[in-house]
Amino acid sequence: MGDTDNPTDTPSSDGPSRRLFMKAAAAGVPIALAGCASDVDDIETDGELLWGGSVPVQSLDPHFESAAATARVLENITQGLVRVNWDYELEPALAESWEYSEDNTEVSFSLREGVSFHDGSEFTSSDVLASFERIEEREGLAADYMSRVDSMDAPDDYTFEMVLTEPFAPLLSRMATSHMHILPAEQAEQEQGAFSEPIGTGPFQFESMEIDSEFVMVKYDDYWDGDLPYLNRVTKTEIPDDDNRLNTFRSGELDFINDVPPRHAESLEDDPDIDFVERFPKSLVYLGVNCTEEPFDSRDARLALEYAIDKDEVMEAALYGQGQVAASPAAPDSEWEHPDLEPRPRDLEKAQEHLDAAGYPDGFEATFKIPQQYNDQVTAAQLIESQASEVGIDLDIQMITWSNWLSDVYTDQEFQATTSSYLGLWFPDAGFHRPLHSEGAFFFTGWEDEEYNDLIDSARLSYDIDERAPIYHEAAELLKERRSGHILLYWMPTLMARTPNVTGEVMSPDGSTFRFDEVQFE
Amino acid sequence: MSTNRFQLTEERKAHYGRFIRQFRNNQKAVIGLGIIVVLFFVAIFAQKIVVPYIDVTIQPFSLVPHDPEATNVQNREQAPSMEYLMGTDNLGRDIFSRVLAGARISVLVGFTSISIAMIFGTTIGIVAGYYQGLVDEGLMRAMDAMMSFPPILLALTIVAVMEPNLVNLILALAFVYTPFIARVARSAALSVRNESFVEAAVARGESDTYIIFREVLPNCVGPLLVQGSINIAFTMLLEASLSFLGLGVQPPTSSWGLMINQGWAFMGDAPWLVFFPALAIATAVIGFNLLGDGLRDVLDPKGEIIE
Repeated sequence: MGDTDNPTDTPSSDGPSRRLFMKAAAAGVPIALAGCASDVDDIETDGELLWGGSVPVQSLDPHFESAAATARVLENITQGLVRVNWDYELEPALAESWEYSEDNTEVSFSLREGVSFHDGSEFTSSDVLASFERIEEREGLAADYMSRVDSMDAPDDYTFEMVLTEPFAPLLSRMATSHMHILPAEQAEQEQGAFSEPIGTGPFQFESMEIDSEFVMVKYDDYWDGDLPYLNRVTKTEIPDDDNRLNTFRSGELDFINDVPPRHAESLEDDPDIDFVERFPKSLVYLGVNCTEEPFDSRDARLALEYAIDKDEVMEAALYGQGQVAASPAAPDSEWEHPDLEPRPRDLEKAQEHLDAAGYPDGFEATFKIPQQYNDQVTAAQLIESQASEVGIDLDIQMITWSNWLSDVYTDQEFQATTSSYLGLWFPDAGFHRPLHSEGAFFFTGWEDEEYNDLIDSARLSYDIDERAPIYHEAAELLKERRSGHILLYWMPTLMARTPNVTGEVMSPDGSTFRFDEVQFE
Repeated sequence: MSTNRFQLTEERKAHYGRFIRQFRNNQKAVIGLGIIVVLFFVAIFAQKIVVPYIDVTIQPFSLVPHDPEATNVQNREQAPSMEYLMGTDNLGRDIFSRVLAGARISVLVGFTSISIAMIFGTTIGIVAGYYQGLVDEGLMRAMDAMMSFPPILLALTIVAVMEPNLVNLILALAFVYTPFIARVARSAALSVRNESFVEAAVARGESDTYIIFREVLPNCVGPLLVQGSINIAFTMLLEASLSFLGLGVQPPTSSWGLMINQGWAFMGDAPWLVFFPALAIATAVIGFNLLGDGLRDVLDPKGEIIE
């Protein structure tokens, strides 16, 4: 495992590779008799993958759309200069190589030649420049990362240079997300929402979309990477209901579904007609508390709540044992994860001690706002409510819609306790800065700690994994010790099912998006 | 005048006797009443009764075999057995206990919201029917406007705009059903208004308030009772629907609608999560419908208790 932000580091082969772990998890599913899928064989040989998706694709502007469902399909249509591999390292994509100056403030990319956009135009450095300028000037989702860029230049068609105000390690990792993907200059000059069909350089091109119903992308014949992709077409049918999606898949109408309900994992693992795939981790689910008002402005009150929670049982109830209890926001099995940090165990005596110390010897009441569309969080919340009531902490559950969550909890901070989750935490800045640093883009719990902020700021300056990793380890300890506003609950896997004749990795190494370029039918 | 009133009372007594005889002979009404009596019994005694605000807890005896809110993850999704008569849910809670405890929410919501709707609806309807003219027009057009929305949509909007909790749910349902009561009250009042005893009261110089509440109202009770008991069934269904949509009662409180909401995902392999609360809703709704139908049969359809 290597430094995701250090391009000069070649992929290392030492250490237990996450990739190997994945392979072991996915292997051993025998290909059985065709069974129920036989009647759709004819369609399948056309190379059309029928995908039953859980969350509908939203708008398709890579620089502005934050929905994970959009990123999931964009990963195949648009591309960045770099992309992440299974060891959480960056590998070349549209840039063939890149080089830093001595002081790490200048970076120069050599761009791949002979790459064309889906409209036939050639990919050059001017497209990169226009795309990054768009993000910076029109305040795209990655604008805060671009603010560290002092100047950009495209000296020739295949060279792109950036000068940074100071060393800024997470920038390249951010480039691997769709928020910094490259659009042709013609599109990049348009404002947010000006186009509905993104033009990219990826293996698939946009074909059609009916919102909340269907999304289709087709093979791009002039794709730069060898014979890829193998599929001619990927048709995503939006089936948000978990059981409906699974049943549709079981009836043979689909080749692939994502977000299988965890409680079906066991029965799918045993089913020879189904290839059940588990990839880890997808998202981090946490209990957020509002540290700007009573009762959770008190560290003791936060600790009392955490000591009241049995996280193993919560994970078991919510994910049927398919997850992993979380101790830090660093991706499990990455260098960034603190090797010895354990989740805080349940301890009702300590919970009572901290209640006494916080001045609530008889416990307290707090509202508990739960986004109702996440079944695992609704289940977890009820169990947490039940566990917390044993020490007199009375959580008043209010199930709310996701849009209400965004306005009440995130924007207005009108909450005392809540649950939510984060995706795409494969690079540490996403987990440690975005939600937890008081200047982070998704900071809403009001837990402000100067020492922590300084640590995370200093980690951003360092390009050396051996220097950087310990900083994140220390930060994770600090989060636990001072009990930040995020009481981490569990890591959730991506659970997928496909027919056994579908081969090739679907999951992208970032843990939350999909790549269909290597998928094929046997 | 006093003789007159005395005779009236005698007449009423005879009338109530007739009413009870006819009610007893009406099978639907008796079965409906039986179901409702059981429902109320369960609702009151299922669990300890906590009187809000003064913090008094009463528990003569408990019907629930398990704590309806006690979770036990190791024991989840158990099929019905002697220990768990209706099985356990996805958090290992006893469904039988939760169905019993859920009766309280259904009865509470159904009864309070219809009581509130009865108070407002009856007042509005009788005032409109008694005064007629512009007052009638004004009040009834307002009621028509409220009725032009489908009940579930109106209730859903109100609850979504306010916060989803029990009190707001009751208020929203009361609001939604007020015009239904008002319409019935008005039509009853219209026919009563032209009766000679009302004219007599007017001739005696009685005040409007006296006539409305002492002469008109008692003679509208029949149709209002029928309407009320049928509407309780509807509010219980609507409560279940709103809770099903996540806008009603909030967990961990057990409400039948919420139980169906949370059990929905388990239909395929643990159908008891949905089946038993659904059965409870169906039974309660049938109970109130039978009672309403029976009452309609027994009472004069014109609502004239005094002939």
